[in-house]
Amino acid sequence: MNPRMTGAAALLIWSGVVLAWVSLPGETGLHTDPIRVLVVGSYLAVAPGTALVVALALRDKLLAAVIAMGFSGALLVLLAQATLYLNIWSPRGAAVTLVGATCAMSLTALARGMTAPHRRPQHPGARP
Amino acid sequence: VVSRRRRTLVLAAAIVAHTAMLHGAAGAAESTARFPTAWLHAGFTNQIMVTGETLTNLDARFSWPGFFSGAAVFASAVGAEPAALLRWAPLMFALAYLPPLALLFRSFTGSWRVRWIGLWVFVSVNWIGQDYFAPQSFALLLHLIAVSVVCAVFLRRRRTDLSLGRFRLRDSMLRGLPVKVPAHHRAVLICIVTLIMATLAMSHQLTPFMLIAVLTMLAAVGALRPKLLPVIAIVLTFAWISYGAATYWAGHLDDMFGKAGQVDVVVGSGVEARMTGSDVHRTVLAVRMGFTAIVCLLAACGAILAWRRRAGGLYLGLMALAPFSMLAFQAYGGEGILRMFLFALAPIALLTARVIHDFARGRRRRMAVVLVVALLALPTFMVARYGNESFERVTKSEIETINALYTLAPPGSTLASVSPNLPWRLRGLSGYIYKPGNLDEFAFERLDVIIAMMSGNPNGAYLIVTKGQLVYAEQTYGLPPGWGNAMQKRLRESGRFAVVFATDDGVIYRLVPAPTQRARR
Repeated sequence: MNPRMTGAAALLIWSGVVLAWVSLPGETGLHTDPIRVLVVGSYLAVAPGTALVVALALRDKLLAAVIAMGFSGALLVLLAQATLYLNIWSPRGAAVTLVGATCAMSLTALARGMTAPHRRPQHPGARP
Repeated sequence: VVSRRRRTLVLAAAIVAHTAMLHGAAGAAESTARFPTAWLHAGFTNQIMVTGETLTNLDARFSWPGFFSGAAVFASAVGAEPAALLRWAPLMFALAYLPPLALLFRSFTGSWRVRWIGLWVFVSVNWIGQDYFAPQSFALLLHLIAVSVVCAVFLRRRRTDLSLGRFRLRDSMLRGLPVKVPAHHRAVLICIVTLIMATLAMSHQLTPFMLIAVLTMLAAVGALRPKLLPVIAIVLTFAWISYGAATYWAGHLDDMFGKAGQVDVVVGSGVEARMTGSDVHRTVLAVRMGFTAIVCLLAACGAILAWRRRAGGLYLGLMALAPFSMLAFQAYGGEGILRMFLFALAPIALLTARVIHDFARGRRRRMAVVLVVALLALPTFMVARYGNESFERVTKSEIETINALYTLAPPGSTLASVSPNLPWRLRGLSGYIYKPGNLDEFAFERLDVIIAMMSGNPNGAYLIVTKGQLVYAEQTYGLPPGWGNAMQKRLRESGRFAVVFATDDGVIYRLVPAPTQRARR
C-alpha cells in the first residue's frame, strides 16, 4: 500500500469509530468523556479535509494541513447551516452526514490508489 | 548539524509549549471557564442545539449563526454541553492559528529563522483575548486559512514596479517559498477558498470585510492572479447580509454604517472612550497600548527593511494596513481598533520577526539583548492579556448562583442585573425578560431605577448580584470600592427585596410588594 492508500484506510477506520460513537444514544452533559471529545472532536476538526487532500494527493504537507483544517471547519458549518435553514435541524444527522462525506472521499482516494499505476514513478525523479 | 526534520520538530514542540503556557494558563489555573461573554455564546449554541431555531430579534449575533450552529453539531457529536467546551477553547484556537500562520510566513520569506521568530511574536503579542468560545475566534481562523492559501498559491511570484503618481514602489515576491500546484488543483483550491468565504460570511459580521480588504489590496497592486477572488468575497458577504442578516440590518443600518467616514469618532470610541475606570484598569490599558505601539513601530521598521531589500515588505505592509481601512466605516461598539490590530497581527508579527532577526544575526551581544527583551515581553504579555482577570474570570459560586436563579425564577419572570459582566443566559434565553436591555441602562447603585426596572411583572422579578459584576463596575466604570456592599445594604433595608439564594460570590433577590401594597392585600 502506498501512503495515500494507508491514509485513506486509516481515515475509514477512524470514521467507523466516530460513527459508532455519534450514533450512540445518550444525553449531553457537562461531565464528558475526554476520550470521546478527543477522538470525535479531532475527527470533526480535520478528518473531512484530510480525506479531501488525500483524494487530491496534495504534495505540500503544510498546505495540505491548512486545507484540511479549513475545509473541515467550513463543511461542518455549511452542513449545520443547511439543516438549520432547511428546517431539518438534526445535529446528530449533520455529524453522520459529515462522516459519510469523509468515507466517500476516503473510498475515492483508496480506489484511485488501487487503480493508479503505482508501479510507475509517482513524480519525476522518483525511484520506481 | 541538525537535520531539517529534527529542527522542525523541536521548534514546533517549543512553539506549542509556549502557546500552551501563555494561552492555556487561565484554563489550567481557574476552576471554571473564564469570560462571561463565552457563557452567553454557549447559551446561543444551546438554543440552536435544542430548538434548531435562531432568535434573530433577540440578538444581532443570531443573524450570523454559522459558528453557533457548527458548535452545536460539534457539541452534540462529542456528547458535551456547549458550556463544557468553553474552558479549553482559547488554547485550541491559539494552537489552530499556527499552521495557517506558518504557511503564510513561508510565502513571504525563505528564512526558517524569520518564520519561527514570526510565530513566536504572534503568540507572544496576541493579548487581544479574542480567542475564547466566540464567532470571531473561529472567523479569525478561517480568515488566516483563506489568506495563507491565497498567498501560498495565488500570489504572482515576480518583481513589482508600482507607480503611484511620481512615486515608484519596487518590490519583489521572489523571496518566499511558493507552493507549486497543477492547474486542476488550483481550480479545486479556488472552490475551497470560496467555501471558506461563504462560511465566513455567515459566521461573523466584521471578518468578511477584513478578508475583502486584504484581497482587494493584493488585487489592486497586481499581486493576485485570479482577480475575481475579492469579487467573490464581496458577493458572498452581501448575499448573506441581504438574506440571513436582513432582520438585523433592516433596523440597524445606522449602527452598521452610521459612522462611515467619521474616522475621529471611530478612533475616539476605540481608544479615548476606553481609558476610563480605576487606576489599575487604566494601567492595564496603558500597558496594552504601549505594548501594541512598540510592536507596530518594529513592524514599520521591518516593512521598510524588507521593502528596501525587495523582500516583500510592500505586500506585508499593505496587508498589515488593509484591516485599518475599516476605520472609515465601522466603530464596532468601540472594539473596532482592537479587531483591526488583531487582523493585522499576522503580517505585523512577520515584519517584527525580520527586524529581530536582522538585528541579532551573527552578533552575540545583540542576541543577548533580544533574549532579555523577549523575557521581558512575557510578563508584559501576562499583564496585557490577564490584567482584567479580577472581573473576567468566572467562579464556581457565580455559576452556582446563576443555576439557582433559573431554578427559582418561573418562566416569564423578569431577571435583572445591576451591572454588565454576568455569565448568564446559558439557558432560558427566550423564556425570561432580561433587564436592562441596553448597556447604557444599567442602574448600578440607583435603587429607584432598579425597582422601576423590575416592577410590573405578575410572574415576579429577580435581581442577581455577583462579585464579578461589582468588581467590573469598580474597575471599568470607576465606582468606589465597596459600592456593591453599600448598594446591597440599601436593597435589604428598603423592604422591597428578599434574599432567596446566596453563595460566597453571588446573591439573588426577589422583588416583593411595597409595605403599603402588602397592607392593602
